Amino acid sequence: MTGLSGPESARYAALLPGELKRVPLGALEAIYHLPSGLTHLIAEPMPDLLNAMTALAPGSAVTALGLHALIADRFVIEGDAPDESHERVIGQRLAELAELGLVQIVHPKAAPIAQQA
Amino acid sequence: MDDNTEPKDTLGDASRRTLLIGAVATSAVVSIRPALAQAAGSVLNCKIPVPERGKGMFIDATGTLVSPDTPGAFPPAPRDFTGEEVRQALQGRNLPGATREQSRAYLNYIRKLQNGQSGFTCYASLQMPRR
Repeated sequence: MTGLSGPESARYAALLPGELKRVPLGALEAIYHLPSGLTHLIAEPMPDLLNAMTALAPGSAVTALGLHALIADRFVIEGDAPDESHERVIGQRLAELAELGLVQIVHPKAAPIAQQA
Repeated sequence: MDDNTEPKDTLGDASRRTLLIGAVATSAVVSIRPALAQAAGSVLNCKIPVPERGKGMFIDATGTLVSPDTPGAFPPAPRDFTGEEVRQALQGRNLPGATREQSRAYLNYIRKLQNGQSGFTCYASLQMPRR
């Protein structure tokens, strides 16, 4: 997929409580996104990333770096390639969640809609 | 027997679960679009107020909210636009009840919507790739 915006400096926040209905389905999780009426099936690591996001204080936002720090205590994090920066990969996952509207991107410089080539 | 193969991150804490964050091993997301009948009740009928209610602001040509006495600014849209109306306007049609210039100003406002603002998720869902 092209246009996954998300410089690692981007900040993300959880949606308001009640905007997502989450149903664990074994290895997958079904998420109903109330505002759009769309249902998404997500797999590891998305549910755990969302859990960490919803555990944030209301109204607060994190960068990929911050989220990595939050989950590093609880998980042994593994990427695809050993030389890959985990923070960077988490940034990509966050950008994907944001593209679906499952987390909010909080970017001071506007243009929240992915528009770059 | 495999005791000392690959100590993960040298932080091997038995209480921690392994989390695979890569895109290769996991297929992270599948989106289920509602069938057509349901879509009519969701994305295409979702509402985008221009601007958000109760602000009493006008909208200038760039889509910025300005005070009502600003020359050339347009009054707020009398009703919310639906996702479908905005989708058609993005393809070149005017928004209902709006002139060409007005429509352009409203669309510029909609393009600037940020998360947390009313209508954002509706607009964002119009942007999502259809596959």
